[in-house]
Amino acid sequence: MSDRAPTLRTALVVASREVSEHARTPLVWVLVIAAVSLAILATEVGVRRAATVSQRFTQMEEERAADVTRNVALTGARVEPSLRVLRTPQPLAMLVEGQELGRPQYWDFGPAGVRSGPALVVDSAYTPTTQPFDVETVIRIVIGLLAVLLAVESVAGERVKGTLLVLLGQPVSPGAVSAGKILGATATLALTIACCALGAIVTIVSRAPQQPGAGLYLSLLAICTAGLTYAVICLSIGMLISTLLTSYRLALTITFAVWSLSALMAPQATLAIGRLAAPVPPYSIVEADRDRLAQRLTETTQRRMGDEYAASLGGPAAWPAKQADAAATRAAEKNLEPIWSVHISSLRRELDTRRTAFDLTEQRQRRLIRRLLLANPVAAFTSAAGDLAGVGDGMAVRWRSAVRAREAVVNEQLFDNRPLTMALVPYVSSRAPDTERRLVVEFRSGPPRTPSDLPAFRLPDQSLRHRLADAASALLVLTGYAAVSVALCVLGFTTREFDLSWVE
Amino acid sequence: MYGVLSARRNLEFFNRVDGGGQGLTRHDYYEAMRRAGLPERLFERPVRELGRTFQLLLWIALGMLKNTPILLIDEPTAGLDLHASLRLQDMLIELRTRGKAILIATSDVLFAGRIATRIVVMKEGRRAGELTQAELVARQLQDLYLEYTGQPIPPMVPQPSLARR
Repeated sequence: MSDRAPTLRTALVVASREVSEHARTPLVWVLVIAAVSLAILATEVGVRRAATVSQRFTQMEEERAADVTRNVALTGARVEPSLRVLRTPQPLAMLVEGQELGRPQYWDFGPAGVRSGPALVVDSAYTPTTQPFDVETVIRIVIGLLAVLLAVESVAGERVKGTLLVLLGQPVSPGAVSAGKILGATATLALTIACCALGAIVTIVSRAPQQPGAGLYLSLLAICTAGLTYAVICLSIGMLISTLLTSYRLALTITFAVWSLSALMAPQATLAIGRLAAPVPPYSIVEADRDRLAQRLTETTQRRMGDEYAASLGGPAAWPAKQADAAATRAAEKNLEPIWSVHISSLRRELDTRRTAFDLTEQRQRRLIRRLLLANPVAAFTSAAGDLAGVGDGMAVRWRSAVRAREAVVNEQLFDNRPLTMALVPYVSSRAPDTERRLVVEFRSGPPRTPSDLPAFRLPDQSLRHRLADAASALLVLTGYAAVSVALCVLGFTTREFDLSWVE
Repeated sequence: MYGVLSARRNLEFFNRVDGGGQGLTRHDYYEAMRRAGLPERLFERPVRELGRTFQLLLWIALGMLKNTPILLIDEPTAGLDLHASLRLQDMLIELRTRGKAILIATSDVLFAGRIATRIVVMKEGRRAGELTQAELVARQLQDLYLEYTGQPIPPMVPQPSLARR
């Protein structure tokens, strides 16, 4: 090995030559310009989308404020829009759309539990495109395509021109040559991604109505780093395929086919497979079913309370006299409290059982989709970008936890210990004596409560640190894929015998 | 060489890729190309725009830069006109006088006869015979070729159709 050049120096010289050649290749320029233009366009679309979401949010906030003014005497027995928790718009959605438009815009709280508001995609206020168009998509498709082309040209292209043979004829290590090729192409890809990021930043600064803070730019940096890792994986796999196959056309065709199937279909296919393998009933059906159950159980209890009340007061004929007696009425009401308490605890138990079953099903699906996403580098990048932008699954779980915590507070302070309860008291109408009729009798056990009596809703933590924690597993898997694919590429290049028969 | 890169950039790359060329400047590469006989107007032109002779001269410039003791050249005159062939011949003779060992594989017997000090005739991949420079001077190379290979060089007979014209 003494006649071999120092590996690092060779790698750097080869990398520098690769970059020089890329700078002189028209196709590379076409793809770089396309990537930057599309990144700017995607950010512009994102800025407009964010403006729409923000406008809708402001509108809902105003509606809620008006509702609070209207419902000063909150009964605590019905779903009150004034209790609504609005999901704050994620400003990073202008870079990565993720699940931003598919998640509920708000949550309402009622005696039966939480009811999710509609997602923005089904709201008439916004008509979405069928496919997301954002910076993540541009990196995934255009930068991925550039990486694949650089890979094929770097090995198969050079081989058919004969320059690879000349290069390997020098006293250099093939490992250093392949490392230099990867390094050079990575530098070109990094420059392209940096130009895309710069384009996105300029678009945000010049077009966004509200200037985002430094967090957005740090997140963009993290997304671009994940994008570069994904591009290195595409590059290494493309180079490996080009090394193993002898024909340039075959190498180009197979590399392109593998990449396009993964990049264009993997994220959607992964979700579809996950949903098929571990189906979860739609929220609307689950919530409607739960509401029906709560209504049925509550009505049964109210009837029981009514019966009890009627019995304690005697027959309807005795009511006027008994009702006039405050002590007797209070005693009758007191008898109803245990019935209501038992009802509340059994209702909560029943709802909790259902919710736990649903949560388990959803968790199973979530876990399966997560695993499937991490099994593919393309889907892993999409997942990491979504989590880094705060529009991924991690943030959805955070919001869910925050809403659950709020639900517990609302249940405890408003619905389970209501200031106002009702009983359906039987009575006989003189007009239809054979028909069972019920009279709604309200019992006020305390002063009316308002939403301001409740503690403020605690928003889920959306800081970069938490978003990085959400994306950690995807980023780790992505880095692992990159390390393995680069190692395989270098190994394949080092062990492969290149000869003159491959020169076309 | 890399077609999209300039002659100088190619020279620099192949000189540095194996760890050489430390401290050399752009002008050192220009000087090497100048010494190899490459016209200055081609120094920064992409190699794909250079003819075969100039590409060969570029390789020779690289050999000179690396101070290579031995040059292996395969069919150097293939596709060259007489003028280019003579220019190459002068360059190789100059390198020979500087003490470089040059091994050329060629089917151009006239070219070989003009520059070679030793000639090995190959027939079907085997060595058919060897001549020294003195033997070369004394005998006609075409006759020697015939003697060793058993294949006559076709005589230069004018085509009847062409003669009529």
